[in-house]
Amino acid sequence: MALSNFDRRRVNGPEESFSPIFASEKSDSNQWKIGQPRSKRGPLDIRPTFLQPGLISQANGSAYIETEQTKIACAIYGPRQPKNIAYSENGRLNVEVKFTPFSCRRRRAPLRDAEDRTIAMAVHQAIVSSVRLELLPKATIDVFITVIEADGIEGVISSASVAVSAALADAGIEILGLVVSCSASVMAKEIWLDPTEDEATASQGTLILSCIPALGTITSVWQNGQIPPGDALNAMEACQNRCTDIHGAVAQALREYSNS
Amino acid sequence: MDDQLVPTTKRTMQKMGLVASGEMFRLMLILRVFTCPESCLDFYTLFVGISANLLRYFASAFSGSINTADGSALVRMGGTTIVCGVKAEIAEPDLEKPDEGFLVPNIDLPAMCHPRFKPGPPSDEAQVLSERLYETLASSNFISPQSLVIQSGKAAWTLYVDATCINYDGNVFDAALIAMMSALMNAKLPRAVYDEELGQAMCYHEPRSPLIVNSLPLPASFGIFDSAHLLADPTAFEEPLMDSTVTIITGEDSASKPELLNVIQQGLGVIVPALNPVAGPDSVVENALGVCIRAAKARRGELAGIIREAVKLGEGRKLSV
Repeated sequence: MALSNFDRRRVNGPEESFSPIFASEKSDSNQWKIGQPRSKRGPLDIRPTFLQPGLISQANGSAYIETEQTKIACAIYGPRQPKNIAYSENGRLNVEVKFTPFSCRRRRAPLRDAEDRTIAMAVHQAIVSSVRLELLPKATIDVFITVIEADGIEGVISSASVAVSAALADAGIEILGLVVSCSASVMAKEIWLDPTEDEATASQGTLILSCIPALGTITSVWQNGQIPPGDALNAMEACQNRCTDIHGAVAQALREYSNS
Repeated sequence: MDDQLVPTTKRTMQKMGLVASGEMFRLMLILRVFTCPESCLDFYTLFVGISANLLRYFASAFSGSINTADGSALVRMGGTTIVCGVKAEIAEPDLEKPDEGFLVPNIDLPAMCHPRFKPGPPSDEAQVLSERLYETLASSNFISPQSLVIQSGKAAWTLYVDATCINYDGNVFDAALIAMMSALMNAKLPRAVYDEELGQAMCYHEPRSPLIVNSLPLPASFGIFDSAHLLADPTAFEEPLMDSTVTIITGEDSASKPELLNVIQQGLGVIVPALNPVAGPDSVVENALGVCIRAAKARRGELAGIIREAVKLGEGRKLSV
């Protein structure tokens, strides 16, 4: 056990350490109970989004997105020549997600979980159908996402998808349209959009919808937990309506950036 | 195009609660304390004998924006951007050192920060930087390990100080060290009491207290180009062109005068004044290391000011939330 934790490529701390155990719950941590309304915002409101393209000067394209407690930076390298990969007629889109160790409530020790791969796959699914990979034979586009702070996996996936799409536009890679994404959670009879970590934990199920509003097409739907079919359809519709607004905000951010 | 898809104005979007101002990065851009005077915009003119002025371009720091960390900071020096977070955990002290806690600094250079890095385990460069940061933190006694003990031999704080490079534009060591110092100064730990019966440390949310810090170690890096020019704070473009790089870390003595903590020179560091077209063969030129040390001591005050201001700003922000 002790030896398996030892990583000679990093500065190592003690063999074992635990996050602090608190004698009492924090007074302001409110537990949601069935029937209570959502605190701080309406059920169909999303958290305010800040999007800044072109933050990373070394990358071909980049974007930084912040939705309250979710902070994500994303960089695009490519299209570039892949190494040791056989010829392919279509380009490849690689997505890598990395959590900083301080991004979650518990410290995320490096190399100890596979959650980043799940998220990378979800983001890849959301984005890949919007990129015109048939125009880039033999090339790869590398998408690197660093999660600086996370507040719920749903928020991370949807914010990351939006950031990647904006970064692809910043990199000048041909896309069919901007992909925007919105998440929803089913809380008893209500649908709450863009749930935080606490809300997602308390919900019966969550759903993430990614779409290209300019084409009116959906690129990916990802549903977790128990949701009756009717509620799932309602949640998708609510997400899609909200995506139109997000699309406007992303387009505005890109326009402001290209004008400056 | 659908009528709805035409972007609304920013104000309407703000009213709709859609657009936020991005607290972390906005503050970073506002806080240009360390502004670059116009004379040094062309920093290739910073030759030996004329000036080893360090104000290459602005550096800014901002701390306390990451809620999941016990302390955090964002530092930007020119293009180089580093985010650092402190996570406090509790561990049993080392058997040989029952009265000491742990300080674990690591830097990550992910593939996103520069095209030359690949995804996967830490690159050689990241390993070297982590080791140097660890040595600096340990030798400077900025946080004394004794101050992290909760109960001798039973429980002590472990501070994981993790820095991540978002954009690599040279001189990452300086930016990372400044980020780590700012994050540690921003950190607040909950009150912890060792419970003999349970055999573990129990924590209380209130009050949270800042760490006890000693003299701040601050870095200044230089490159020597073409055996003639001394460049302060080299960028990613310049770094590979340098004959040698010099990093000076200064601390403060008991009379709060700058003192040397650490000097690292990599490569052959010879300055031949006659080769310098501006200084000319007649100019009196000191040895490069002396110039660097003097410049590093001169810069120290300004840098410490930026960090203190950033930490103060971070505190004000936390109180208002």
